[in-house]
Amino acid sequence: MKIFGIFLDREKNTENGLTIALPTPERVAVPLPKDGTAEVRAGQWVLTGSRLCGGSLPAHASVSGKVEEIKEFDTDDGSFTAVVIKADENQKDAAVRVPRADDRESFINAVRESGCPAAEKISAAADADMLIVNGVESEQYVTSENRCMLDDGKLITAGIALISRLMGIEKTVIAVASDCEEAIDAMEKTAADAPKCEVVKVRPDHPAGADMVLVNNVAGRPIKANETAAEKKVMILLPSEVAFIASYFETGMPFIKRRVTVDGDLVKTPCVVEAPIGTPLKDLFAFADGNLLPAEKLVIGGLMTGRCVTDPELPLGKCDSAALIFMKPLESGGKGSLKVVGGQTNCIRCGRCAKACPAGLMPMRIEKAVKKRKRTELRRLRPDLCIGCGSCTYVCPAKRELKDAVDKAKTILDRKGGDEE
Amino acid sequence: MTDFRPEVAEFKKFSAPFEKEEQSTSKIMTHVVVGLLPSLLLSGIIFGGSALLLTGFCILTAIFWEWLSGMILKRPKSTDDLSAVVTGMVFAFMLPANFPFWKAAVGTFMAIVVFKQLFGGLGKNILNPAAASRLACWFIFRNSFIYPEPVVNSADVQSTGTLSLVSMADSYGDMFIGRVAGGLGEVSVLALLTGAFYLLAMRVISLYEPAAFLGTIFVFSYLTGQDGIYQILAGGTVLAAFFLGGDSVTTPITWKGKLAFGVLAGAITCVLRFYTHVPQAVLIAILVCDLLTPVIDRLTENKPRC
Repeated sequence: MKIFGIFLDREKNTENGLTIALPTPERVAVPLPKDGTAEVRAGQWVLTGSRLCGGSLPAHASVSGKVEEIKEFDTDDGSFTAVVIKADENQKDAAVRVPRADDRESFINAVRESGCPAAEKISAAADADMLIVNGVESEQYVTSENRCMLDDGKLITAGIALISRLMGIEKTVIAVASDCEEAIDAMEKTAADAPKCEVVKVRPDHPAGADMVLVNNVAGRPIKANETAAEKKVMILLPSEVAFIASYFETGMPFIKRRVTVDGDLVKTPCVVEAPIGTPLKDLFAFADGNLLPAEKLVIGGLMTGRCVTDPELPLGKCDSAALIFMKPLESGGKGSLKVVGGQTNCIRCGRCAKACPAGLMPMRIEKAVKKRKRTELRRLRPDLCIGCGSCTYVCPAKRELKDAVDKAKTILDRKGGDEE
Repeated sequence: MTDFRPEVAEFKKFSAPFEKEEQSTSKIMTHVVVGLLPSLLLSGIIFGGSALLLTGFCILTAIFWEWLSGMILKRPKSTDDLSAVVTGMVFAFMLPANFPFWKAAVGTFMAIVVFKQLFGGLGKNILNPAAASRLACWFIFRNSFIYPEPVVNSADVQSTGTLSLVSMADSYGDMFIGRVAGGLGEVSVLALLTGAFYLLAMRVISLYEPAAFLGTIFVFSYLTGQDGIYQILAGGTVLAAFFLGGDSVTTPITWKGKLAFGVLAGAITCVLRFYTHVPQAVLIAILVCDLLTPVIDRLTENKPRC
């Protein structure tokens, strides 16, 4: 049985634009992984691509220049350390070593050394027999993967060949939303050259790009909400990750830049830019003629599953596909702005959230159980299976914050004790 | 008018998802009102201007009670969600055309205040306010429920002055168009189906409950040797199927629950009509099933994918 989602008004303003390389920003703050400590000191000079720290997923300098400080960033979602580098005038690349990989182990280690987030997915799904290249961008505004499929077709071919040779992948499927015709054409060409590879068009709904939905609908392997794709022997990678792996094994340059969609109603020229990791968000908006003054909402990632931040100084992370900025909604609602659509009312039990939920949960019952702190009922309703797609809150006509309630239910279940009534 | 745009960015913390569908409770209620309009139009043609006046009066009093109870109970302003308009309209549709206005005002008072606001407001009421109030009115103002003969009628049909269900004298055609004695909006099945089709197309109501309800009545009647089509066309059955059964607040959430609700309500209607002399069989059936909705909901809950 296929999992069907909901249709979003996707507003892909940047679909037809080209990827623009961002001019080297004045300074970048490369975020370090949680378990990594900086291997550089303040005042030291680094070259583009030189290693900044060790740990599970190393970070590399995305520009060459002088390390100004090792800074601690405090956000509402926790803090992280970042290495602030002031870029110099003549950007120089470090002498990088082209990696070699002959088997599974060395391949995983090489990808890990590159600092690409794909390493974790590959090592989790080390015994997979199927690779899904996830070219589905179901969320509003986000177009960076779409752009990657149009630009890097050759690299994706090479990447698929490399991964399937070294990881023992028997079949590769490139999943593309059926309304992205240009991307489908580009991927058809890619698939023709790659070994045992085909393009599958998927329904352009949300969350068609979620792991669970891809495994169920594209791989045709029935999956339960508490299982991971790796357990079903499916490896899911983004086109940009596949393309990066191919280029990494050609040039040896680690993961230091990524495509990011810059959009939102305050951005005059929405575009897809290729930016160094660690670029402050305000530089991205400045490049795209974004006006930060009347801004209220700053979102990193898609509008459905992304995260909201309150500081435009924060750096671009490795997995951040979009930076979106919105102003305070006007009563009338201009085009593209997030309009105010009536206030919150009581739940009218219309059942839209239950219909939209890809995991088959009942968000309105979870919300009620959270309000009454009924743990026994919550245990039955299984809020822990939520995949966080945000569909329930999106469709709710009573404007209730259902996803928040489900998240709260998860924390209530994590705590010990009986009913708190 | 110029927009007020602050000069300093004020970033606020929101939680995902950051955009919501342009659907809202008031929009859903507006759809329901539009779905009820064909019946209003036909009741105006059939029963004359008094029908329109009575409906308008019920809507206005319903909004007034909603506003007043909101003021007294210090609830956030709830007249904007238009649920009071729907309640007033559905309630009026179940009244005879010459129903006294003050009694109608009492009826809307019971619907809005007693059966809705005292339960906690929209979404928390257990019984459908219009149906519950209409049944209460039937018991309180028993002798006001005299159904006049419609202005337009086939000449050969005798005036009965009672519900067409009892008279058994109307042709299917008359009952379909609405040239029979009955409540304002109940009589014209054609208009009700037009409105219901609109609501189905707008995805406001689903077909599960009405289909199960009407199907059960037809099959039950057929099995017990009654005239199934007559039972469906008569006595506000279609209004109950689409507009009382389509009320999302008092009916189950899942499709399985909706089916169960429809079958149960249909069966109770038929049992009451065929084997007892209990009046208002449809209303009682719907209200009994409303009471059972929490149980049905619990039994037909979606199973998580695990």
